[in-house]
Amino acid sequence: MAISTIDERVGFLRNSLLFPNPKLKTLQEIASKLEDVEYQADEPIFKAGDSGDYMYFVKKGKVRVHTENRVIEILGVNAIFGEMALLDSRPRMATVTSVEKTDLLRLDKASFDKLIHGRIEIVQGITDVLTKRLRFQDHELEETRQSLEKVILPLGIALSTEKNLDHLVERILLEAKKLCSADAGTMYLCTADNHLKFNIMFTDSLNIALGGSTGKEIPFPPISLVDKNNGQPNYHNVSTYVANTGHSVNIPDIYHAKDFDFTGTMEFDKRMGYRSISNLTVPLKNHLGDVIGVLQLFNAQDTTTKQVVPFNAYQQLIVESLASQAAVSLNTQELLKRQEILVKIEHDVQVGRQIQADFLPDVLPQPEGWEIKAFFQPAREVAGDFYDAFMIDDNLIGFVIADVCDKGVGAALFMALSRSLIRAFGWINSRSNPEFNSNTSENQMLDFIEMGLDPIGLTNNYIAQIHSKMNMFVTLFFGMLDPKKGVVTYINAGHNPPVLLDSNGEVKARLTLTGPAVGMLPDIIYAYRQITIEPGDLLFLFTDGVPESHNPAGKLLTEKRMLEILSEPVPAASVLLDRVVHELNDFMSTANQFDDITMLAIRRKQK
Amino acid sequence: MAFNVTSKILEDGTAEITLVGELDGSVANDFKAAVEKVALEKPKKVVLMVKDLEYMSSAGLRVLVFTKQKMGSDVDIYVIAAQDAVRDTIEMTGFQHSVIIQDEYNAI
Repeated sequence: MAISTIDERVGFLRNSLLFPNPKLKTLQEIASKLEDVEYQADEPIFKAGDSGDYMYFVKKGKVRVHTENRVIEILGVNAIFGEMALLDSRPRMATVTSVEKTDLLRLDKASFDKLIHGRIEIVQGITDVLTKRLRFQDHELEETRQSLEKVILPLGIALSTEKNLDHLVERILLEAKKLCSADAGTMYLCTADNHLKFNIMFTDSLNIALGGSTGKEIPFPPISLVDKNNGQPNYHNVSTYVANTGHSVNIPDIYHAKDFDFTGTMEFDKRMGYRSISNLTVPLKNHLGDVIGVLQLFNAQDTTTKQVVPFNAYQQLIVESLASQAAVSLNTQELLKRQEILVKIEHDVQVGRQIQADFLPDVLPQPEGWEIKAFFQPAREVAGDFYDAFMIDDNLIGFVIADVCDKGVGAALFMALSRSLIRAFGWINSRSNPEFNSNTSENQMLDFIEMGLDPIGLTNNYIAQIHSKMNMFVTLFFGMLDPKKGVVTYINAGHNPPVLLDSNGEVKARLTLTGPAVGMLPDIIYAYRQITIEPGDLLFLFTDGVPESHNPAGKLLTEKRMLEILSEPVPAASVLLDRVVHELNDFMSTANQFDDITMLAIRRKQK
Repeated sequence: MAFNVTSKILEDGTAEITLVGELDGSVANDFKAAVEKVALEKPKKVVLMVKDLEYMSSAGLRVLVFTKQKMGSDVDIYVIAAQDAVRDTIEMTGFQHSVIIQDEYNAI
């Protein structure tokens, strides 16, 4: 190492920023205390946190002042560093590493202390240096603030609304390039056959703009993501490495990068008279976290010196953040697509509801001397309960109340099926056998059953056999009313036993089970029973939704309470139903309706 | 209580399934999976231990129906020590005719 002479040092010190208008004697004194030191490329001079023991002058070469996350400054010849720790005796704030082979002159703390005591001009010089540094940092801060406010944040918002993926990735590349003041940028997209295809390429200083919206073809072949030789993932090229691992790579100088193969880039350089130096490669992921492309930037530039510098950690963070916008945008597109589908389904459900409403009787038969009223409130759009009342022939009225073991569209479909089967079988039978018309309902029922044609038995077999895989069942009460006699012949297939009330509201009977729920087991012979509804009596039929109503605390109404509500004299069927509905609404109050609520009231008027 | 289902095959080839907690639509599939598992062993009888089953919705009843259908008419299904609520659900739909309800398991 060459040891500089006092004169050389004095000459150098004159150029140094620390000493405006120095006296020769002062310079000679300082020069005598200086020490020559030499550093190779990429050698640490001191680290953040170290105690300050020297200050340094750069005689030849370049050093990098940096923290773990970012590069603060690059200093060249005549620059000074390290004086702050000597001034306030605190640990080093940053790390300084040589960029290339560098010669420094250093001054130790003791000599420095002696120097500044009583030497106003030196103190002034130091103040000067510090002020300069402060201004520099202020400027950086202001630049960062501007960058954030004017560019990055609005860009984030704009990107989140970009629906077209091609436009989106091109925009991301351009903005990332601009933010890093990078000279060149390339966007690759992953292909279905495991390659990375060049999608967009910009190199400003060479006026190259290919691919993307330029419409010009990129003359480079796709790069395989798989090493053709051994079938392993291709980690040789930095772009495929990033695509395969999903991790970013930041290289200060590709010509000094040992881990990757840059032959392609170097050939391009030779051909175009270019020099690729710093490189930042970042993955582009979709909303599932899969890599869909790679963004590569070359040659970030220092905005003041226009020199090519490495991409700092802050820039890497920004570029990664922009790349993640692709994922957000893709996710949004996916959600919007699904929303479209849901809207269609919702429309279909509305149609289903309309069709189902059609299945319910428009008008309930009101035979002379009788009232038949119903209340129906599904828990969801489409219900699993249903009720029906229809003329079986001129005299007999069939009525049904039923509950499929579920709610929603599935139950509704099953309900439609059951209802249709019952009506069809009932209707077919009454039409096909002319003897029916004159018989009592009891005989009719017997005839049905004897012929194996009772509607409930048939429906039961159909569901239990044909739809056994669904394991669905329907609880059902089917009655045949002879309004002239007041006799009801009925089958209760697993349904809540209807309540027969007298005119005072006292319970006369419960019409209990005569067989299991429909659809559970095939080949059931359903028993039937009969009961007479006297003048003033009311038969109240209901589904689970009534006794199992939930209140906001999650408590159930219970059948006991339901019976209490029923136990008052009733002047009319509608009055009774209104009363029950009122009590239910009070009870449920703010709770969501848990189950479909269906009620049927059949009242024989007083004579 | 949270729902739990466990199953085992006894020495004599009887399948024993224990149900605990509340059986509703959200966990019915777990019960169904257990039934499908024991069905592979082609048991002669299926014993459902439901002493600690506090509640069974219609979804749970559907799995019972499924069990009966899956095992076939030759296989008896026992429901042991059912609590009132569970028993009511079975009896109110008339399913009690398809299973053997007992307080303690006594092979018939």
